Amino acid sequence: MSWSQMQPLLFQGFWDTLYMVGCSALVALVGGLPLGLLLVLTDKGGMLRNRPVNRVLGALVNVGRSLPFIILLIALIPFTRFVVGQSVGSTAAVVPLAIGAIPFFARLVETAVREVDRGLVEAVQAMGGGTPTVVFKALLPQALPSLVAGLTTTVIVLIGYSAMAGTVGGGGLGSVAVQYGYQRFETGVMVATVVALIVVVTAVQLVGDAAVRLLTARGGGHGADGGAGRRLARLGRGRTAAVAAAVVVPLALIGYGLGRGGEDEQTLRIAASPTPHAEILEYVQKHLAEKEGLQLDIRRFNDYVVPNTATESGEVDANFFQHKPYLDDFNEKQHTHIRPVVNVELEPLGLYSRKEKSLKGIGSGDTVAVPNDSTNEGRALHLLDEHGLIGLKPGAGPEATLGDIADAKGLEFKELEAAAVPRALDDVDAAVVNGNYAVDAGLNPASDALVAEKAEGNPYANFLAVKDGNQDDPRIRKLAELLNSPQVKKFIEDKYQGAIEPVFGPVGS
Amino acid sequence: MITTTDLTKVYRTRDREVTALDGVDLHVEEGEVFGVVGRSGAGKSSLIRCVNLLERPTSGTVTVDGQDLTALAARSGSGNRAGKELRAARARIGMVFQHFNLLSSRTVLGNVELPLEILGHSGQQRTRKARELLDLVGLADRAGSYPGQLSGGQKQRVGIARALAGDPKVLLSDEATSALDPETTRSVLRLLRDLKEQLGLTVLLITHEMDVVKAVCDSAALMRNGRVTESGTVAELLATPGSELAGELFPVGGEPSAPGRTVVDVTFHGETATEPVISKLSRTYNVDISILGAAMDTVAGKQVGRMRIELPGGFEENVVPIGFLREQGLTVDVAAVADGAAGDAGAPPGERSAEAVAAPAGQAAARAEGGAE
Repeated sequence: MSWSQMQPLLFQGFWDTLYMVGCSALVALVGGLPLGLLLVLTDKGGMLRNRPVNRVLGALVNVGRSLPFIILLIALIPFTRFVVGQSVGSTAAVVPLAIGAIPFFARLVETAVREVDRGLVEAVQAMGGGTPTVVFKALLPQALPSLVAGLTTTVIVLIGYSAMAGTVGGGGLGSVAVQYGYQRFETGVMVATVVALIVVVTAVQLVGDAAVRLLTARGGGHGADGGAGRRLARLGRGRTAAVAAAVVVPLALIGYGLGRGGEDEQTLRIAASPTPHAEILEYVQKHLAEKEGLQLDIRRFNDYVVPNTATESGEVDANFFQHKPYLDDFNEKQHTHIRPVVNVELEPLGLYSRKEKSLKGIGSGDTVAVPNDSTNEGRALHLLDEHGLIGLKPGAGPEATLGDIADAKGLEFKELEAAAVPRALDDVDAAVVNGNYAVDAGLNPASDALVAEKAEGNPYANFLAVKDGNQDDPRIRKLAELLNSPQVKKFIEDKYQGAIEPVFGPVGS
Repeated sequence: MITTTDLTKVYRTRDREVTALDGVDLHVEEGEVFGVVGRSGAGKSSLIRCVNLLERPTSGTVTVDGQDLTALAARSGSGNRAGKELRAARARIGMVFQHFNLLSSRTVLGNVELPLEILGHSGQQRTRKARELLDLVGLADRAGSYPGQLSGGQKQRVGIARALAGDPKVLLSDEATSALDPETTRSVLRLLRDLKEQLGLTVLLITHEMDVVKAVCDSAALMRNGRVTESGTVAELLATPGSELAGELFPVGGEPSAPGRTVVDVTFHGETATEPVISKLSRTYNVDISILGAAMDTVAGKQVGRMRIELPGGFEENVVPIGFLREQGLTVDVAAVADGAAGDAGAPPGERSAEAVAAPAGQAAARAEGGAE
């Protein structure tokens, strides 16, 4: 991707990040400050000592702090819709970001306020000051350097969280990195976004540190609170490292998961997506494989890159999760030699709407949600093109993006994480949804879809794949045979009710 | 001015109770400086905090300037929250702290303005008043500094200026000089004394330093295990035979130079004019007197303190000279020195004399009140 193509992406991402982080930090400040103060004031020995209130607030904060952000993001969708009137887009991402940051900042406020000398509280009380006086004249001004350091830390954590905003179409630098750099192997984009993120984080930290120094300096360096400020600022830098660690650790764990195992030479190790691929393999393992003397070791991945690289390196013998356009692209860009063996199933994309009963109702001025990952987005756009809702540029490939649309015919698009698309149905006029997610969301692909992909000749059928040269391994041949058996056909039809269709046979080139 | 009646304070933790105050009756007269001394843990700190109800007494009453503060606190409801009336009462009681408790985020002027803000004074009024107060404590030129840039003594002066902002009649001092060096301590005490005279303050101070009591207090009380064991004006305490407080305030020691001599402790209550009693004794009865130790002060021409002298010969030979001393209005105790040990443990006599000299002269270090029989 050239710089001229990359530049608008980066700028848009930068502004989205700034918008999301700025707004959510503001809300975190407004919400976290009183919460943190109340945690101190209602605690034992506090001026508003109130055990039940303190316990409840503490528990709330702990719950907020322990929820993984991605869970919060999804769980809060109804609330988000209630608050900002939509559940997709940058503004919608602000709500979960803020909710996630409030308890985090509240704890930092609590620590900062606790470090204020109790003698000062006593002095203000002795002057005849009440609780508000103590809070506004003593606690907050004295804790200010620490509070600023805490806010800096919070902003940096929010920048990390905002990378996940792509799930609800919030955009931002982080999601540009994931969407283009990771899923589409545009290394240039990934490097550029990461550099941009480093610059942003460093700038925030420098500004925060400078503010803390400025606020601390007037104490002549004698005040205990100055020390607290500096300690917190150091904690802030530690937090940056923690965010980096949060990225590295899961990757390391994936590697570890691959590294171990391999107990039996005869056991066939297969990497698969959890649904439906691993479920189908489990069915084969439980009901068919043993009779044929075949042992399966099924490894589940939530990720679409590692299964192929692991197959290429021989850490697994086969994988089952992808379709032809994806594999071709992967082989080309990663210089791998993965070959399809046999088709198994198709998850047909369909166009769904809660507002319109037929395709005719969708037109100019309407908003359509599409998945944001490379292949599903391309598929979705091709589906819309096929039915005349949009016109793609001639020669638009399987990984077409919004940039490949020649004629949008007045439609507007929202790009979302595939799993989040059905959840956005109430906020958009129509959405292109994967079959499995449609079923999960209570939609029936057979009857609810306005249009759907056809099974025959569909290039997006998912297949069993191996490294080139292993196609004739007798164990692979046996597994291919079992996956194409009438029992598996019946299993797929019974279990997935049309969300997933059995598509057997050799893979077309 | 300040009266506590049967004041008790019990701290309850989950598994035990600690009685910090155990029925304290204290009476501080208007215009006097009253010192409460005692070891750490004796309950001094709880006592002073109960006076302005920073701590709620478990039982008993506190009256300041005729106002029953405990009743105000009871009216303001449950918990530690102070009601409006109690807060107004507190604003009329100044308090000075051991660790100054100044806001490092405010300038010196800002710190002194803080109580005025709480009292609701307008901006101009506040600044004018705060500058006056800083002038009073000799820090007019440091108004723009931050506490972090001041020395300990200067910080405490700011603390005192702040405590005076509400025009209090009563000033509470919580170990105000304990964090300061001896020189600074003296200057801060001198300031307190001057302010007291100038503004007609009543001061209740707690301290563990006897020097503080000697330097500024009119009256004193000794606390032990949550109880007041001795209390009275300095003269009263000196007149009380066996007073622990008097002994600690004016410690005398010294061993007889040879066996077979009589050692006598003489207490000057501040009633006797500075007549040279000892040399008169020497001349009148033709005895050689050696002074073994003394802790004396001459205040407004009167002598206060104690002295240990040695007379040649046994007690029987000295009945007449001792009678002479009693006639001069002094309390005379024949020290029990059979084992050769001094009555009071502590430093050698030389140092005690230095102590006595160090006390500020020309100020009323002790009032000549109360009988001296």
